[in-house]
Amino acid sequence: MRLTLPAPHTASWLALLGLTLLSFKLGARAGGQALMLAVLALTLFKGHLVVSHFMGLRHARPAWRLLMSGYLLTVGAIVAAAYFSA
Amino acid sequence: MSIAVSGEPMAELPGDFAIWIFIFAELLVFAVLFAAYAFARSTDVVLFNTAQRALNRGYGLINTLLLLTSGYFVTRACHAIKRGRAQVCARWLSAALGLGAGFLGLKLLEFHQDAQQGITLSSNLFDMFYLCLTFFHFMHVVMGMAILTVITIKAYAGGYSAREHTGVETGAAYWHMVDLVWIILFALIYVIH
Repeated sequence: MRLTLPAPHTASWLALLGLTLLSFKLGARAGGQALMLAVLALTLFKGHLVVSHFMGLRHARPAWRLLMSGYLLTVGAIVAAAYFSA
Repeated sequence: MSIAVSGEPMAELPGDFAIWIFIFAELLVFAVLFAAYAFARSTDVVLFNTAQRALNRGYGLINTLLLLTSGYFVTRACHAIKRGRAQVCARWLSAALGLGAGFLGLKLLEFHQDAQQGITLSSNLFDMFYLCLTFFHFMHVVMGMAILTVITIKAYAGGYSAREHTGVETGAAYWHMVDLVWIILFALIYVIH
């Protein structure tokens, strides 16, 4: 029997659902900086999947991909800085 | 034409370029709001954590799954029209609209239950941010659904083809932006504490 891999956008959708459930489970635990960083990392990766495979920037010029990655990383860094400063 | 490593031609941004200007502007506004929320939280972590626990996390989870799946359906619609299958494209878009309506319905129910619980703009700082951020996003979902509705009607009427489907890609880009913003909102409002 030959196994066929799902299309990248289907694999991304399944990954997005799985990562959302994982984030939700992590959020049910006690808070803390480690939890914050873990959920933030999962969130940024989910954003990367949406940008690359749903928005279709995977095939766009590197400058556009860089701009979107920069956006996600900047938002993540600002949120992390604010949470660490608390 | 430049060629990507994968061997596929490197394209410009999908859809009309004007929507991308709008998308980047919207993302910038949301980034400022996310930063404002995060720094406001740092002034009173206990209040934010206590108020956050009053929210229905299950609704947040279901709405996230609805929007992500809706975004996937829109992606399938784009793939269908690139192959010239206009009716299949229209059906994927209709399914995406159905999930979008589910998101709005559940969010309205949540807002209603929040109000009954005493969660208002003036109850505390967390509630103010929660209501403002999620209602601002709610209005973007409404806007996205209006765009998707127009595209769906045109797709059913055979208005798009494998050669000309800029409208589908333009609407899809906006819908994915709404999706992207919710992913961050979900983490900030419902998960991280």
